[in-house]
Amino acid sequence: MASFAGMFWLAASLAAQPAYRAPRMPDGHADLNGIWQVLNTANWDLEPHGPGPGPLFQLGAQGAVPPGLGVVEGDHIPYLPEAAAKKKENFAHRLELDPEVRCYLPGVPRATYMPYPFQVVQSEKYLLFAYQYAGATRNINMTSAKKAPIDSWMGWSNGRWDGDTLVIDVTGLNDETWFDRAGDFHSDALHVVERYTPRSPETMQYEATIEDPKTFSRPWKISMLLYRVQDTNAQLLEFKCVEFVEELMYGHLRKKESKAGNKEAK
Amino acid sequence: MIRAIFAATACVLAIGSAQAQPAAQAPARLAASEKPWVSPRTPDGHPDLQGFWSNASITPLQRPPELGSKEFYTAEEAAAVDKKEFTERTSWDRLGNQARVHYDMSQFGLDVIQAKVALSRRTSLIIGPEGRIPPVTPEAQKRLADRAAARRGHEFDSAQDRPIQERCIVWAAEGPPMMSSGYNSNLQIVQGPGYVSVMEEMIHDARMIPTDGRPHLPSGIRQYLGDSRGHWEGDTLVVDTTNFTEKTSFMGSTSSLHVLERFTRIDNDTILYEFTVDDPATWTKPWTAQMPLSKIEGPIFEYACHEGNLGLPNTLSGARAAEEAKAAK
Amino acid sequence: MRRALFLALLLSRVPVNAHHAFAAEFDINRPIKLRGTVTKMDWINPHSWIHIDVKGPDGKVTSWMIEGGSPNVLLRMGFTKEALPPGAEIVLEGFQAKDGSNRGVGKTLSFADGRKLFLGSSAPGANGEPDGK
Repeated sequence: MASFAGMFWLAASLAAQPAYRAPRMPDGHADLNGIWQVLNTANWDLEPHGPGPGPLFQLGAQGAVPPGLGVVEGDHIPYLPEAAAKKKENFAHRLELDPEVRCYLPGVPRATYMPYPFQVVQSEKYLLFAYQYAGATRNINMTSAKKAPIDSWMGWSNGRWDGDTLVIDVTGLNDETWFDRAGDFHSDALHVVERYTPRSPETMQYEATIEDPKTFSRPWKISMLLYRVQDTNAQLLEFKCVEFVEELMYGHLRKKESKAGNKEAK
Repeated sequence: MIRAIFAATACVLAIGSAQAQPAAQAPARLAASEKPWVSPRTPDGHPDLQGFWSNASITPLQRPPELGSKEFYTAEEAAAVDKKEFTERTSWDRLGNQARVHYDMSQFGLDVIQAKVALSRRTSLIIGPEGRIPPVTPEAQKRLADRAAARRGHEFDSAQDRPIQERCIVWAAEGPPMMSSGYNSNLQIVQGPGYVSVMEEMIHDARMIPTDGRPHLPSGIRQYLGDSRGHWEGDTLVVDTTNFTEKTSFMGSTSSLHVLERFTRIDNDTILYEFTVDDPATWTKPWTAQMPLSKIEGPIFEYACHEGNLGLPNTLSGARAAEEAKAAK
Repeated sequence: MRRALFLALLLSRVPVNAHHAFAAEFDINRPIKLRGTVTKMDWINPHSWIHIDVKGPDGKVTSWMIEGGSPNVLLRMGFTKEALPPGAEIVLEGFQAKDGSNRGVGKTLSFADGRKLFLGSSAPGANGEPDGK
């Protein structure tokens, strides 16, 4: 008797758990509204990495690269041989070359895993992604797919639903962004397909397939969790970082006799 | 090519029809009273303000002094004013003293009359019998004079001495309050549960406005665009913004600037946008302006400013070269 | 009578809101007149840039970059990066950068055959025939 009950219990628990079903928008699609953020070190390095020194020894432990399990499926980004050499060069000169230092728009997918929140505003008609970092924004076209007229920093996003998964096809990305601080880069042939899948009330699965035949020998994929930010009154805060890099970018053009301008003109 | 010509022609027709129609018939025209319009609603029951909107305007902020307390043109007068702007003045006229060294705005479609302009019968954006910005306080007068004196002769010393718009930090017209830009004067409104988002094309700023009744940010956090909180009063979205930085300096104001905006959709193609500006450290009393937002087709294109801002270092290096040349003489 | 008075006294206060003062970047005392072949166009903000190769009288080729307007309105009208292809020949009269570098702004800017780039002249409604579309 006891063993039959035990088997029944075992069978019941092994039966397929229903996949999480996110709350619905009135139009029947999954509701992705909210403020989201990653809890990984992808922005430092997409590949698995131990801790390491940062490019500025003066920052000591504060400027060090923290360890991370990596987010690349298969652990390894499949660079073409010439591109692999360029990545090494990038890493060696990352302080000068990383566009994040200059407060440049982070591009896709890097915007997703910057260590700052982003917000999804979703209605039946429109889908807007707003990122705290540098106030980057993306408008996701949810009507019939359209071609990118030119290249841009945040790319051209055509979205559609695959069940409860939001699939965003991103083209029209310029070649000026990096994937991380470790020098991982791409050309203007970059094509990214993102998948956002609600996983639990507090998490979303994020996957991005990266394709760039000028840089990589085959498409490759990153995968990570997005966590819902639930602190009381959580909101995106303004993070306009241009001011913090002006000295670096334009200091050499300052008039020699004057003090650093502290009279803010309108 | 055909599509481009069609689009350009459509632009022409839009402008042309605004002239051909008597002012009173064009839906965007605001007379003293309008029949209330029944708005489509979002699922939570509020008016649907969503879409792409232009706030391009040819109405001056302040009333020409000779018009005194005249708040509205007659339909005839308004048509004459519009006609003058659309057909007699050119893009070079509108550049004013910048016209001497500039490219032709209209070649790139950047002349304001090439945008979707919501025409208004108002003589000024500022409403009321005065139609002008109130006098500044004595304290503000001194503050602004001191600031100008300190700046004189140092306008090109460094990047930090240039206007924040030139540094690609914030566009002057972004506000809030949101003012008309000469071009790309566009915004997109998206309404999600508990939020209204107003995304301004220049400089790609998405204003996230919670409507859940939460308090403003702590006073220690200041933002260029301030901190906005929204709520509905009937069919009007009311947005209250505080927590500005000292650097925002909207029309010379301080961090104690307080802006109240009201968005009311009055027909399919028009949102009536009203704002009240209050800063006791700058103006002797609050002032209010009104302008129509008119519907346009999206999308909003990326305006990545800082990333392509060659003008700023070029301007500084030009100033350094001019100084060197002067010193060499 | 009153209408005429209004028209006569009308002062335009249409806001001029260019990104920055071009007179600070370009020198009115350095007029230029160039004819060049487009090598590429940067469809970027806050200003687009047209890169051209200019052949001097001695046959030597110098590269110039010509500052233009924000491309966003053109994009909204349906123009794409194919609208100004490499190889197109353009002419301009304008001013050179204050620091003497090979940068300029074209007060007049057109294809060598006189057609306007992108859109027409300041008269509203005029539109040119974009090349390559």
